[in-house]
Amino acid sequence: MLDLSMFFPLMKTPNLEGFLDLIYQAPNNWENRMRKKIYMYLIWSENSHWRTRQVAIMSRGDVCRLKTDEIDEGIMQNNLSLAYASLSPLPEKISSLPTEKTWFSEVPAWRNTSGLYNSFAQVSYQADVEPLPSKASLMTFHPFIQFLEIENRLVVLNATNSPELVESKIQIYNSNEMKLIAEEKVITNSLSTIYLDKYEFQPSDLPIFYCPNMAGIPFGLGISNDSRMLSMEHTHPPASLVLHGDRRAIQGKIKRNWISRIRSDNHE
Amino acid sequence: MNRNTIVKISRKIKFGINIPLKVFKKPSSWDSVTSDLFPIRNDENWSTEFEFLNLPGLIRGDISSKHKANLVFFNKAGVELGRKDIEISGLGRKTISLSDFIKDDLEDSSTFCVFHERSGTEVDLGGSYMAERGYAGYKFRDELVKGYVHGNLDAVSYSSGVLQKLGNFGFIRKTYFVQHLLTGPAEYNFVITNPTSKKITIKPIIEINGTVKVLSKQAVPSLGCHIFKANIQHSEVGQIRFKSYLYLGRPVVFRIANNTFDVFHG
Repeated sequence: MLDLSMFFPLMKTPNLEGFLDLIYQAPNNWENRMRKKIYMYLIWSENSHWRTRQVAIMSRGDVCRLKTDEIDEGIMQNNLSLAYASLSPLPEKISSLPTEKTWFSEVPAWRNTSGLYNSFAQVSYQADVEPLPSKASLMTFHPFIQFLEIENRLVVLNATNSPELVESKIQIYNSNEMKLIAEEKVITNSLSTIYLDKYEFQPSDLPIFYCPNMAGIPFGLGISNDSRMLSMEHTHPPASLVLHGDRRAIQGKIKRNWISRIRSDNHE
Repeated sequence: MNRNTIVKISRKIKFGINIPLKVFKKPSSWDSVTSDLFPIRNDENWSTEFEFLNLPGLIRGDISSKHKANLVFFNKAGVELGRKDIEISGLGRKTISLSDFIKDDLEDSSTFCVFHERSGTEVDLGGSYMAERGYAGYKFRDELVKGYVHGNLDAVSYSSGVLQKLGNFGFIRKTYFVQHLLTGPAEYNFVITNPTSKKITIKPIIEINGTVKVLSKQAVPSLGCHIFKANIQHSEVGQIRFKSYLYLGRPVVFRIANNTFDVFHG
């Protein structure tokens, strides 16, 4: 198992700002009792390297709210930057993400609230990001499209150890009939936004999104037409359809089953 | 002994004391299916829906066949009130409105589980169990848009009509710190379910602008549910933690502000 450090995402999507509430408090009282001062950084990709910016020094018990409309635009140039609690100052440029585990626990994972907001509402989730493998795929089943007075988006978060910004295509299918509907662009180390309403999915449809060469964390994002209600939830990877046993193998099997359908339904 | 070894040993000891058993048990029957215990909000302000998908079909890569599941309803004391079948046939998704079911004998339902029929998945699963950790959608007042939250815990398993509670509890009280900064003005609802076989007392402790207050504790029966509420005023900032024997006392959180809401795991 890879020994991966923990990051917390600050995200942005068109017409919504992002926030990240950082609390220097582990989720339980027994697993990680660290008390050392930490340097809180935002880290973002400039393709050939990662840039870092110290945004706070925190002691245990401190809280810090970061908002995208209160920080330099450059930090959010990819609509995503990663917060990292470092035990020592970081250089301004680094070639790969830090690996030292600081804010880390397992039962449950140490998370912080990451969300989006406008002048009426906010929506959030308990977030943590472990760097994804550079060579991996994404397949997700998407039951979040809503149909009354709402704009539906898919947003895909990706972060890898390498800072490279690499474009890939995410394929869009309807699970009823796996003919390719469209392809949309997604980028590594970014938050990619895809507008879904133009594909005219129906209430009984279950879209499937598949990207053969980029992993990611996909979210369904809904914005009511009057902007007063926001809705956001991430989908599970296919392994979440089962418990116990070799879930990774099951995930591989599920993906292969659907890829086989893609090939046969698209006469590949 | 080097530092890494010391850290590893220390971690093993901590886990051995605090989590001697797994957080959730393995179902005792090979053909079990599992579900979370999903909160129901159903009153003049709230309604609840559930996104029913053909789970075996998603595993197989083919959702064209008919598929059934069993909805099991519990009241807030964890007493089972009844069961209803739901069905999906050739569709990708079926949005179930819980208010269609919550009447008569099921009127006092506070939580529900969804147990999918096993059909044609035995060879696919090996030693794994089909799990419903899917998506409940909540609507608030006259808002047309739902807020979604996925299943929080691997709470209950089902085999041949028999339920098994999967949550473990410890002998040392643990504190769960909700990983969300409470900001006002907002009303917060913290929904805690008990997936263990024992009644568990939950003690909420809230800190607002540096002042700590212990709120009324609540005994939550096995498979029961309780909503703790807190109001945060404008310019107040707070944190809340829950002390109990649960291995994982993590609530579903509703934040209501400005006549709209957010829902997420704490």
